[in-house]
Amino acid sequence: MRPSTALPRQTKPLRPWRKTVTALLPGALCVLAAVSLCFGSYPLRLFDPAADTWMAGRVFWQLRLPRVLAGILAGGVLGVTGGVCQTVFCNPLASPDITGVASGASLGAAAAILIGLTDFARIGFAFLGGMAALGALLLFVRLSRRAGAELRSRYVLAGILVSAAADAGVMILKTAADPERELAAIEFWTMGSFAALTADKLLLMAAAALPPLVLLLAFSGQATILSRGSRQAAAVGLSPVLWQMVLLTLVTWAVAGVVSTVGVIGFVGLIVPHIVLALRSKRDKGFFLLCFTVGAFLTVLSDLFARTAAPGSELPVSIFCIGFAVLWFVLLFCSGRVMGGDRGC
Amino acid sequence: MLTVEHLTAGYDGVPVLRDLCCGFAQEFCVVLGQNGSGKTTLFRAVSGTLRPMGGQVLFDGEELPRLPARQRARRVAQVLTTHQTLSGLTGMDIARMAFYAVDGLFYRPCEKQEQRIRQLAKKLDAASLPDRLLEEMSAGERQLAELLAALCQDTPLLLLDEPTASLDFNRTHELLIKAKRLAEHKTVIATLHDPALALRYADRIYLLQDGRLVAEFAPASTDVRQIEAYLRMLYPRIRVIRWEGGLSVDYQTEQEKRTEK
Repeated sequence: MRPSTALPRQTKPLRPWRKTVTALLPGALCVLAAVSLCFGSYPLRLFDPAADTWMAGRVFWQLRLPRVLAGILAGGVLGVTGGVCQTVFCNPLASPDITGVASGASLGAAAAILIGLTDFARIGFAFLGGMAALGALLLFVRLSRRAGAELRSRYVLAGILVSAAADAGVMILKTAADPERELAAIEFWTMGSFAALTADKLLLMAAAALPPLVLLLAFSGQATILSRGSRQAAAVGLSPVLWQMVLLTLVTWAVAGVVSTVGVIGFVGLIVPHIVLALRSKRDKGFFLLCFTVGAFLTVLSDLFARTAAPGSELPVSIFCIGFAVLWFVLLFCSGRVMGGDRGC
Repeated sequence: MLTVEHLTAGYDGVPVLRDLCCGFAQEFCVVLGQNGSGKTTLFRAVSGTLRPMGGQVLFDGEELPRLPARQRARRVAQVLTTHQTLSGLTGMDIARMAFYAVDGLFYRPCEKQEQRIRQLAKKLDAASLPDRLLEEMSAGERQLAELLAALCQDTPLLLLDEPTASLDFNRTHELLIKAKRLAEHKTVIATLHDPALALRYADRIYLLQDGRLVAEFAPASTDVRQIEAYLRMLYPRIRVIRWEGGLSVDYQTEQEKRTEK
């Protein structure tokens, strides 16, 4: 018999329910968004001519619709950046927070709150804080190039340092803050909320976050090449140093755009790629688009809970995002399934 | 034709390769050397991931280390010893990366490339590999998938760094037969640890020791005693035996050496 090079085993095709779920996701997101439009402190009914009043219209166009769209955009950005981070670092535990951008933005926002600036100035400060964190990160990575460690581990270390330093800065500002008003505002900001979102703020967020998001989706192929390590990337002609910097800068930029408007939303970036991988088991063409959809779904759902769970008051959206993430990971571990893994990393 | 002229290369200012001169023609070349002898460093200098400290690496008259990365990737492809892979990638996904050298900034998967990859996979007798996840492959299949990815770069020069490490007996020989077949159309350079495999498959063998080329010979046209003398510079206890089927090697213990005398 001829020694067989024939490869007997075939990768299992996607299970039918997975295919169905993947195909239905965009539809489900639309349905969820539509449902979400109706709930809130001012109840609205879609396609209800009787409710076509001036007040309902104002609530719909100025508050509810921007809020849902912001949820979609913020969740999508966090999902995609999470996917990009895990791919570039070849590490299933990486998330956009790894770059220290959330902490930097928190520092900026806290400073703005303490000075007593307007909402818009606060968004600007938070964005600057996020970008300053990026600058510090890149500077450290550059200065530490003689350390001999691989570029990626230097990024991770730099991210930890930058976020620790920014967190310390936030602590300093907190001790100086008035506990009644400013401290509460800072605390609330670091838990994330879509509550005060208006159409203007949505436009601001879209202007800041959409360009890097589009570029990230366009460069997703380069991110996947980087997941194979610096030497393999260089072997196919992709400069690992340049592209790690480009992709992480885009990630930071996009996250800063989101975080500066809606505050820190925890865990979405970490968990979304795992959910997508569980749905598809492949990291092929649609992976990052699916990350967008799942992230958006998760965030809109969390926001829906955040404004309806306790009638009359708004809860921080992070509570529900983290709740979903913990639930998901517990299910994943208890079902004995390996995490979207790093075998061979 | 790859020409290495007075190449000195190393890490942190300490040279591993010292003043290396050799040429590689369009045939199956095998580099033998102990761990740390500079095999991988040679590959890194040739593939451009390591900047040489001195000397030149010329391929068809072009200086490889000076070419822009993508230009270089269209001339040299390599299969590395260690692979790092995130789960969820298929053989097709890693093969597709080869087209970055052509597409550059506008690197997008497309149907034509997919067909080309399947065509090459068929030639390698591995038609099903593109559709399978890397983490579900055996070591041999995995190595074949990496070879397929390197072939997709469609380069005249192919570097295989210890391609048979962790492969079983059958897969080792199957892989080397394929590599030798590829050498009909391109310069294939492989590093190996087993002199028996080198003697069996290589058109030309290069012996590296402490960053220097100590010998270079074509096993088919070199006398058996001469081959043994060369190999003993690296493997002092080796014995090369000629039989009607070719050459084979044996390891001689101290006792056996004494009784022979």
